[in-house]
Amino acid sequence: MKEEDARVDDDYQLVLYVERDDGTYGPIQTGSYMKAHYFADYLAHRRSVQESELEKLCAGGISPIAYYMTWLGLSEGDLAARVRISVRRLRKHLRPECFAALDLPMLQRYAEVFGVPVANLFQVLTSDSPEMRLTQAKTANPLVVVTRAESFSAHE
Amino acid sequence: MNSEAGFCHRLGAHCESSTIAGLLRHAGAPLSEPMVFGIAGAIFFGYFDTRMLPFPTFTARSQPGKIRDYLTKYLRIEFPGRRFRHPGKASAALDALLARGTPAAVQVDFFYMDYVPPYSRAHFNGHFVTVAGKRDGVYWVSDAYCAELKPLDAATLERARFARGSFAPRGFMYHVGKVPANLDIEKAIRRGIKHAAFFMLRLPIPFLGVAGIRRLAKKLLDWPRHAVSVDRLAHEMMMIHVMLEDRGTGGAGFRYLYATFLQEAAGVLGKQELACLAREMMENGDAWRAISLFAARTGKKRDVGPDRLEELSAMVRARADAEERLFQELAKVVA
Repeated sequence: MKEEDARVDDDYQLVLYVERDDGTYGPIQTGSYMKAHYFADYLAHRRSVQESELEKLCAGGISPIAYYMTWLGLSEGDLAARVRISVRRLRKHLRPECFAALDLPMLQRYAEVFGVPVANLFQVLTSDSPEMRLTQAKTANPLVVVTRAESFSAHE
Repeated sequence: MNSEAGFCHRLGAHCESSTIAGLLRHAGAPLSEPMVFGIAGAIFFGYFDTRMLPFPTFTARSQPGKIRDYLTKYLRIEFPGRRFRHPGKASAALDALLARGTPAAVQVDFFYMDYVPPYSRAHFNGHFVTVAGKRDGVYWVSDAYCAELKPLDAATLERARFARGSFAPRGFMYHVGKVPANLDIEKAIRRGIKHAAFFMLRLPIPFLGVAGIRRLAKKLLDWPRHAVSVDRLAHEMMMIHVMLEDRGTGGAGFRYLYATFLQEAAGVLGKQELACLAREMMENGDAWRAISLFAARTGKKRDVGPDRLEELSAMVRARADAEERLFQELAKVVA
């Protein structure tokens, strides 16, 4: 790939190896072609997956474990290994009625893998206003997070 | 910030080879990232379709962690490393190295690297970063995918080092030990190329090496069966582009990185044939890039019918034939 073909104007920077004008090969720092051209589609796909799973979750069809598993693109086997349980046991946790019987240490293990506070396994945080941003800050208590709705302008 | 405790950070294409190149540079034995990648024979291909994966996938490089092993084998550079059972002991060992001014590479789950944008965070246990220093309880991390050193709190790093699942890091860390005074680069290059050719051509496993590329070409036609919807299939098609271009490959699924290695190797060995093969590898990379762009475009347009998949499959099959010939030639040049 020629150096000029690799140049992409984007804030997400990566290193590509290219052919320079003098015929030598070497690295250049450039933007991501994917991010520059297909990012909106990627986000749209993620949003559509999230919305359809959220619908199922709110209707009581799946448990929050199933919701986050799909959202993060984890397989049953991988998630089970990460929370240190069998796949058979994990499958039970994907059902809402079994999820309701889970103890706190088990929920903490799931929350850690999903990268969310334990509280988020029981709530959905959304904001209808584009000027509002929700932030969650950890506290010294591992079970408590402070959720704030902050307003910000589009220029920030 | 680009330097911490004397360690100079640089952006790199691939996390593992870039981490090792950075450590070697710090230890006074500068080897370029392509040279590290090439000597370790890290170019590869594998197609995977297992129950552990939510969708079939592929890799264009060798197993995470193997670059260090093969550099030790082929260059006799010592990289003392170990895994841990207890997170506390792993942190203490890391702190002890940093206190001596020795940066260390650690294997982590990429998901917990909270300095990367949320959209690109995914669970992957084969990520490598260099921990350059520690100040006020915060580690300063040199990640090949970031332009600057990044801070990471101790609890997060510990969680990332002890994530479970495939390729679980178990606290794995290493640093540069003894570096031979005279590195036999020529011999190492020959062994690295032989190694890559063997793994691409001779493995008797139908989903690895060139056979793996052929397997991808064949199985692509079955992907609609795996996907629950056109949307999902389109997304997976776009993921082909991400896997080949964006996930720390240096472009074209590591083929550009390997072409750069071959060009450097041609200079070291003084072999014109190798320079010609470097050019062919670059052209092979261009063809892989054409595949990734085709996949991204069809994914974006949701144009993922049988005709398009057949077209993509033919393009991939052509790469299998080209790489089979290329690696046969490479094996002959260094025989």
